[in-house]
Amino acid sequence: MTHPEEQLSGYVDGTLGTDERAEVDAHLATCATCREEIELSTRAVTMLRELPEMPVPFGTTRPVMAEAGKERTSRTRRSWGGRTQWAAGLAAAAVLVAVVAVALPRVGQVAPVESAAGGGAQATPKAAPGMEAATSGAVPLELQPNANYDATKLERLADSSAQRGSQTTLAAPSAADASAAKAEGATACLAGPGGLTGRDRLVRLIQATFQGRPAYIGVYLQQPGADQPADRIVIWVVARQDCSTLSFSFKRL
Amino acid sequence: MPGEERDEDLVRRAVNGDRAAFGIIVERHERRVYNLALRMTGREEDARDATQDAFLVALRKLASFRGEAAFTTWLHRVTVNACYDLLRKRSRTPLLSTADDHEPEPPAWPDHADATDLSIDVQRALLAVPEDYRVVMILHDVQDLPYEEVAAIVGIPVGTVKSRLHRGRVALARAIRGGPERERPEAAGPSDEARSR
Repeated sequence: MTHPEEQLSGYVDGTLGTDERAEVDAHLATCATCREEIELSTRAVTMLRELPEMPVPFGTTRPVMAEAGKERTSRTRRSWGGRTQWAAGLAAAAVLVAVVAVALPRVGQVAPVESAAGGGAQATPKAAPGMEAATSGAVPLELQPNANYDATKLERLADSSAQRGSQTTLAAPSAADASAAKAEGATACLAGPGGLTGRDRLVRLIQATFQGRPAYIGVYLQQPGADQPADRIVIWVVARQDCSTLSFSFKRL
Repeated sequence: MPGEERDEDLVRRAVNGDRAAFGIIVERHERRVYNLALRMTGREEDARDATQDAFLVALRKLASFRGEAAFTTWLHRVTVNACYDLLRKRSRTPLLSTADDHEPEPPAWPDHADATDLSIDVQRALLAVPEDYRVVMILHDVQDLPYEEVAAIVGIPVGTVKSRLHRGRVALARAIRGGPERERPEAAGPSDEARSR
C-alpha cells in the first residue's frame, strides 16, 4: 500500500483542503499504520510547540562583533580623518563642560575621577544644555591598572552599570584635570565611524586590560529611540594601541 | 514592527562598513539563530559555536546577499549549514548540556528552568531523529515557519518538506515513547527526493 506521507503532515497541521482531507480520511479508514502515525505525529507536534525559546547566553555574539569591528577598521581607514574631527568636537564639548563646572565651583571641586578601585559614586551635575550625552567627553576615565577583564567580568560590569544607569551620571572634570584629555582620547578611540549613534550614552569609561591586552572599555546605555528610556547596555572594548575592536557585547536592561 | 528599519536596509549599511547596523542585525536575529542551533545540536556550547559561525559567515558573505530571498531565509540557510558543519565535526553524541559537562548558566528567565527540565526529553528525542528530518521539524514545528519558507531555507521541494516533517514527527514520538524504531522500510533515511516530485 502506498501511504500519502506528504498529506499526513498537512492532515495533522490542518492545512489540507476539504477534498484532500476526505482522501486522507478514506485512506485512514483502511490503513492502521497511518492511523497510528497520525496519532504519533500529533503528539510530536504538541511537544515540539512547547519547546521553550531559550535566551542567548551573554557574549555569544561577541567574537562576531569583534570581527565586524576589524573588518570595518581595515576597510574604512580613510574615514579616520572624520573621526579626528569628531574628536576635536569632543574637545570643544569637554571645554564646554569645564566652563559649566567652573560656573558651578562647588561641583567642580567635588567631581571625582574614579579611583582604580572603581565603583565610587560620581558627582552628577547637569549636562550642558543641548549637549549630546552620547558624544560627551565628560565621563571620567577610570584607571584600573590591575584589572584584567574577560567575558564574565564584562557581564558583571554590565550588571553593575545597569543598576546605576538609571541615574544621569555626567561627572564634570575640573578644568585643570589632565585626565579629561585622556578621557577624550579614550572616548574617541571607542567611537569608530558608525559605531555609535546619538542613542548611545556613555556612562562609564575604563582603562584596564582585556584578556591581557591594554584596552579601553566603554559602557553605553542605548535608547530604542529619541526621548525613550534606555533599554539596553552596550559594552565596547577597544585596544589602546590602535583602537581596534576587541569585544562588543550588549545586554537588555 | 512599524518604524523598524528593514533588514535589507541594515544589510546595505553594514556592507558599507557601519558596524552599528551589523550589530542591529545580530541583535535582531540572534535569538532565532541560537535557538535553531540549540535544537539542531542539542548542546549549549555547540549552539554558541554554530551561532558564531553562522554570523561570521553572514558577515563575510553579506556583500553577496542580493535580496533574491528574504534576509531571514538567507540567514536561516546560513545557520542550518553552520549546524550541519558543526555536527559533522562533532564525533561525540550531542546532548543538551547539563550541569556536569558545562558550567551552569543562570537561567535568564527563572520560569524557564522547569520548562527546560521538562523539554530535555523532547530535545534528546529530537537528536535521535535524522538531521534532515530534524531541521524541517525545528523550522516548522518549533520556529513556526511555513512549508514554503522551510523549503527555501533547506533547498528542497515543498513536498519533500511535508514528507520529512511527517517521518520526523513519527520518529520523534517513537523515540520519546522509547519504543523500537518502527519506521516504514523505505523511510530509513531521507532518500525521498526521488519520490517527491
